[in-house]
Amino acid sequence: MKKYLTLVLSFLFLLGCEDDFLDESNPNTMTPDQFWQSEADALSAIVGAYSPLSNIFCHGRIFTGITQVLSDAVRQQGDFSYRASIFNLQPAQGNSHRNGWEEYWKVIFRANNVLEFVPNIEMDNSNKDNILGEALFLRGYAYFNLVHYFQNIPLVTSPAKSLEETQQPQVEPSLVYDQIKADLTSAISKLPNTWSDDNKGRVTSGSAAGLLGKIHLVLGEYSNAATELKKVIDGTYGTYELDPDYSNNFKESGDNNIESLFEIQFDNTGAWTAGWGADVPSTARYYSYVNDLSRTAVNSWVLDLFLEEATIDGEIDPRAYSTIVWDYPGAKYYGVDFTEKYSNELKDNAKHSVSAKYSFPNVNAKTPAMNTEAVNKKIIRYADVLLMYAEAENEANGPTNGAYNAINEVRNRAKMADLTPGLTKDQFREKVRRERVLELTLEDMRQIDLMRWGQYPKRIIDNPDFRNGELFYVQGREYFPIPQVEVDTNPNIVQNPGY
Amino acid sequence: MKNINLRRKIFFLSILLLINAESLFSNVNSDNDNYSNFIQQPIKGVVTDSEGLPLPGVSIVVKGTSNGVQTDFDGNFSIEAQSEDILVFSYIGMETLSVEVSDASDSINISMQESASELDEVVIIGYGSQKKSDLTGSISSLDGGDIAKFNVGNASQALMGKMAGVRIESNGGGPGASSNIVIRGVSTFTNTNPLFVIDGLFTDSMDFLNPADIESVQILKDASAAAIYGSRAANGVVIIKTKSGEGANGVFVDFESSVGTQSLIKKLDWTSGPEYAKFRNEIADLNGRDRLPGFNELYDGTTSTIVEDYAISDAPVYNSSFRVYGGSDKIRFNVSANLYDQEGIVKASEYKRKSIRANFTVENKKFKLSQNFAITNTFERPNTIWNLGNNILPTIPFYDSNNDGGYGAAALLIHGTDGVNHLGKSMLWDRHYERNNLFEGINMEYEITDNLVAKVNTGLTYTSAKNNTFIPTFFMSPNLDANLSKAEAREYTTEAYSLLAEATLDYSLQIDNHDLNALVGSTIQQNTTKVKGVIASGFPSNLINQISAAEQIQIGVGDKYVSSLESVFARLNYNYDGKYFLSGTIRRDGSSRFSSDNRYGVFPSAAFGWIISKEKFLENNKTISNLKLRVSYGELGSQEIVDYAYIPVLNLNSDGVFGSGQGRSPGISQTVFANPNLVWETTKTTNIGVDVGLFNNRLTLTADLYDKVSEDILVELNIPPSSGTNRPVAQNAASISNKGFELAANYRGEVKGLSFSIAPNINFLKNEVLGLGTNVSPITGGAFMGINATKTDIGTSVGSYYGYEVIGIYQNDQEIASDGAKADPNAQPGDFRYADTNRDGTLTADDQTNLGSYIPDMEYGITLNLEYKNFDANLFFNGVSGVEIFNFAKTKNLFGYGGNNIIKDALNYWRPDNTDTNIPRLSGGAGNNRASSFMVESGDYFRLRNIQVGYTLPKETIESIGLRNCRVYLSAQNLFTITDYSGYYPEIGRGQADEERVVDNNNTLFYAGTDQSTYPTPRQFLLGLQLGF
Repeated sequence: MKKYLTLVLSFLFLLGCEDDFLDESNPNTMTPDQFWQSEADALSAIVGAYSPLSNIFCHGRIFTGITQVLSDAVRQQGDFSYRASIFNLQPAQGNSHRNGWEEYWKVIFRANNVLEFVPNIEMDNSNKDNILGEALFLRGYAYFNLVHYFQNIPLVTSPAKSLEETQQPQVEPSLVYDQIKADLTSAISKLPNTWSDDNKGRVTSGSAAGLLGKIHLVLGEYSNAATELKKVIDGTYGTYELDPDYSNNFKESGDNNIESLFEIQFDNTGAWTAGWGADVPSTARYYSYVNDLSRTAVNSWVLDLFLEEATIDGEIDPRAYSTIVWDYPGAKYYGVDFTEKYSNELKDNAKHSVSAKYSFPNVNAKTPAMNTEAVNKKIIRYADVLLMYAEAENEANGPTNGAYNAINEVRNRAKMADLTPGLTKDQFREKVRRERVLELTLEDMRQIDLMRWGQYPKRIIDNPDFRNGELFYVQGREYFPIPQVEVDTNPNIVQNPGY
Repeated sequence: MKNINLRRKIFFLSILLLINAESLFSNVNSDNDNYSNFIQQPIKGVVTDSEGLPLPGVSIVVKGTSNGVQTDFDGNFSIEAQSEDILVFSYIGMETLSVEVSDASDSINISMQESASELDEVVIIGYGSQKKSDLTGSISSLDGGDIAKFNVGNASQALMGKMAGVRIESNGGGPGASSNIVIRGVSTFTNTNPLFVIDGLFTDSMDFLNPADIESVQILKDASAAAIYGSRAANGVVIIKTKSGEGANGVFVDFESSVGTQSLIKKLDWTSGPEYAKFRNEIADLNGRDRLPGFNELYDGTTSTIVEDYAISDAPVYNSSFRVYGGSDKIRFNVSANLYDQEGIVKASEYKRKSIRANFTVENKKFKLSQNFAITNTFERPNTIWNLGNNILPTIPFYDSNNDGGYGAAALLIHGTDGVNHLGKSMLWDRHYERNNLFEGINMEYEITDNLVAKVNTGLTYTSAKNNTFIPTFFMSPNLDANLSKAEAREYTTEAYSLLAEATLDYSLQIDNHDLNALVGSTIQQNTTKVKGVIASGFPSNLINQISAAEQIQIGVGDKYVSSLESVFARLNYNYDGKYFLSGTIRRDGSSRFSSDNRYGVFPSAAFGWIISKEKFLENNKTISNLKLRVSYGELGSQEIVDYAYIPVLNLNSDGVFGSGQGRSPGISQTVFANPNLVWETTKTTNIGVDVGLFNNRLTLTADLYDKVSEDILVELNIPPSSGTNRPVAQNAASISNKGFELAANYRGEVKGLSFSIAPNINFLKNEVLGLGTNVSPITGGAFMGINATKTDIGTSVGSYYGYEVIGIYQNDQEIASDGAKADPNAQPGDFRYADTNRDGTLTADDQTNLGSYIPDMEYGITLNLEYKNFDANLFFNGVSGVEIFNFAKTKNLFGYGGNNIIKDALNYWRPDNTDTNIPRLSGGAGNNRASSFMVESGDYFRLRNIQVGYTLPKETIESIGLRNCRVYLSAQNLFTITDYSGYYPEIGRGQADEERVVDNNNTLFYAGTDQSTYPTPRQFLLGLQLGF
């Protein structure tokens, strides 16, 4: 009987289970209250804020691909039906514009977290300032991309504390630009001029100043732009120079070179099979995908422009060979004769050309492993600063010596003669605009330039053959649609006009 | 700490088991059969019913022989039998009687009792059992015998169509294909599978069972039946009891073996090489392009590679099982082993299962202990990619010895595309899923008093699932998907173990006409899942494939998830006079998946039953032998959401590249929001049922009408990406309604020695999403080749297809012009004309509309059993109606030219000289290749799912060679299928075609019914032999 008593007792014991049986903590990762304690935490958090920029959805492939084809210089070619979905601009189906929206908002949220929590961490003050400066820069850079491509966006400057707080309303674009300028101005004061070798690639005061100059230019604030950019040229934020070899800017050997103010960092170690996304173990951080970039067709007017003016040695502008491949003697496309590869296209257009920048199919005998490159992608380089300065100076004060010196420095590297002195303001403007095409094509700048010059979308409408297939321009759609997922989940969002 | 406590309890309970062990193992002996005298003698007698009236037509058989007679009109019979023979008296509606012939007597008078038949059957309900006549809930039962007649790789498939309201969708027809079991409609967005209770232990699946081990299956469908399982039961409960030695006195051996062959039911009409070349040249000519050399000057004009020919061949299936069972009054045992080996009709696919089961029960006076133990090993090679988007072009030889790996593919300069040979890839890749399942349950019962029984149930289930792939180096083309220069090994292991401990006290009391049963109990469960994965690349050769040999570990992951449940429950069953029944259940559940404020859910239910036929006015009715009304209402819970969803987390993998060496710097970020407000999902079901028995219960009918509403459905939903995160957040959001009507009937009869039963069932279901929550976008799914096939929105059923409605093809520019903005801006003659469904005069994305769904309006099954002398036959038909399939094959086979072969229909494309067609012009897809009604087809079918014809050898023939039983059978599956579906087979399941797919169907609900690369269901013929010793 005793043993049965034991059974009954054990039974009752089972009924009265202790409370903490149901408390399970997550053994896989940290919770926010375990974080934001140390300098190391602050450093991890700022790296986390950079992180979305280099994933496949952002500069790695997708958003770069779609912003590139918006301009008059680039069009998609080939019979790739999947592209219809990748580059489809319909809000409901669109994938690619959604990717940019998501990735830049991630940068903003993470920067906001840094700005919210890092000030309370006990750590070295100058390191703390640097990190806060990086967060301000990243937030400004992300907001610029969002406001430029989507126009009507919310303005969020502190992280949401609950699900309810994630539904923010759109604001006037000018308020976003005000915030960007404030952030960049503050960032300049907090950021170092240079970083140690171990930290190369983190943003500097020069990055922030260069971007601020660009923002002023976009807003037509020429005199402010000229002032800000002049400081960069004068070495206020450290030394920047043109790399003697133009093409080096687009090769791994030119990663974080002397010409670079800000670039997206890529390596070649991640496994794409483990996911092309971000924030998963071993995320691939490659630049591009050969199909999107080196198979991009470049409209022939770009080639015409390159061929218009020879170097002082009577050669073709060397920048042409780093920008495009066309039917020049001996031209190759990954080891195949260009004429063979593009026989059909050349039949329609003898000046058919495709992009070379970053991937160099005219130099490389084979497509790279996984069709990807480890080369960093330049966002602001000194040549751009010089050209922006020349432009801003001309607009503000006319073609001054400073303006001439700036543009000539860029031209001289390409062995192009100095501009003829004595140009009118209008003539000088045209020269700078022309130079920007020769120097910066395929660097994601053309559409931004056309927009600020008031030539977009007119130039696309006037030249329907500049865009093709699914990417035909629809009137009123200067900006991307707000991605449907945002419209659906955020009751405070109104869709952009035209969609 | 808590883990230790749980472990301590289980250990403690195991010790208790041993206390009694020594007194249990005694008097185990088997009866010895002795065959004495073989003197035949005529036995005579009269058979009457309980009121003394003679029964004509009673069948009398000498057991184990074919020797049988029937009673005459006055109930008289005469049969040749010998002493110790057993005479079996059977008559529909009467309890079958076995009477041993004694030496002394040559006359036997028999009085047969009316069988309360099925109604007296005991049905297993949660934590107990009940007479079928006493049930107040809605429960469907299936006997192991029915399952045994159906040879399937996956036990769940044998349940398909057998029980009204239980939908079993097989995920295609691959070897060992898993099934989704949906009881009374999809009522949630994550895991739609019911709770499985196998010998008292909770599992997520029944895939590991050897179908032959199943003794009975009960499916608890309404809330009152399932309420005792509260938290887990919102999708219904499947209770499975495996075979024991119960009822067997002695030692018995059963052996069964079958071999069969499977073949493709339907071929598609692929274009031949020359046809395809001609087609491609036409495209080039039409577009003013040079013909591609691969279809013109470099094509030999004869090569004709049809993927189907290389992919599909007849394949064998083999099944063998062995069972030893028996016992005495104190100990019973059942030990079985099974080997199932099925090759797929598609190359590089197979399924093997090995299982061992050992069940023991020992009893000593008031104490009873049973233990159920099983180990199962399954090995599966699925081939989900053989028919994926890109494949070999018919003008290219399938094999190419110049390529590393040996498979041919298109080349850019010759064929216009860098091709992928997906079938070749599936043959090159060594990919397999291997699972080991360990199952151990221990039940103890002790009668404290005659009225009070205490039970303790503990158990452990352990699963390790390996998903391993080795991809050798290969080259087909420079396409990213078509070459690999460094071999890669991917190895993922998921280990899951679940510990259960529960105790119940069961009290019964009968006073006069009052019959009361009360149950209280508690249960705790802890589930631990550990996932590990490695991807490594670079191996010295393709023959060396283990991780240690790799140059580089590309990725290593490891995660662990623990969840706990703690519940108490009580049930009261009361009936008065066997006429009025009342049942009430309440259960309180706590789950670790919710924050401590929201942790507990209380789930009540009540039911009422009334056997009207026992009332005076029906008591002696000749026609109506049983009439019962059942009404129930109850609430059930669900906690099916990822673990830890309420706890905020950081992501440790947001690294960045920095420094002159461009190394990785660790980065941390917040990538998802937590939801501390998560609560239990609740399903409320009202059920009204009627059970009718007519003509002595020869015909029985069960009808149920139900209304089931799920609220606060747990689902991971998008939040605004402007939050800075784009990962969905677990929320209580949607609500779904399922309303249905179920009818099951059974008629048993006998005509001239042929006894038969026919059991049809039918159910009608309407599934509707009532709400999605606030600020929730409709859920899209079924993505494939750039098209989203499904959209779940308010007012649609879950996973409805969504797209444009095609109303014709534009024949000329005038038609397009007259449509104005209603035409697609890019439309040309030969393009689809889409309906402006919202009539706003413009064709926009808003014109996409509901195009149907994979949920059938009606589903039905008919089981027919026939027995004549030593022959028996079992036929099972099933069908669905009002179901649609989103046929992605059309995208691929009609528009996908360039990457793969096309079907002959594609050649009938629209052109000015061929306008009478429904295939649009050649446009590379574009505006025509959208989710549209063109892709949606009826998936209705009616088929003879299974037929088995058996012959049992006469006992006298086999006894001489020491056999107890010998039966041979021939069976065929899917002998015919009537369908209009244009794809391979209308059995799609939730097939998501993906190279990386792990066989896990919980996340593919919104892919259901989309035919991407579904494995065709084969036809199967089997020859089997059953032996009993």
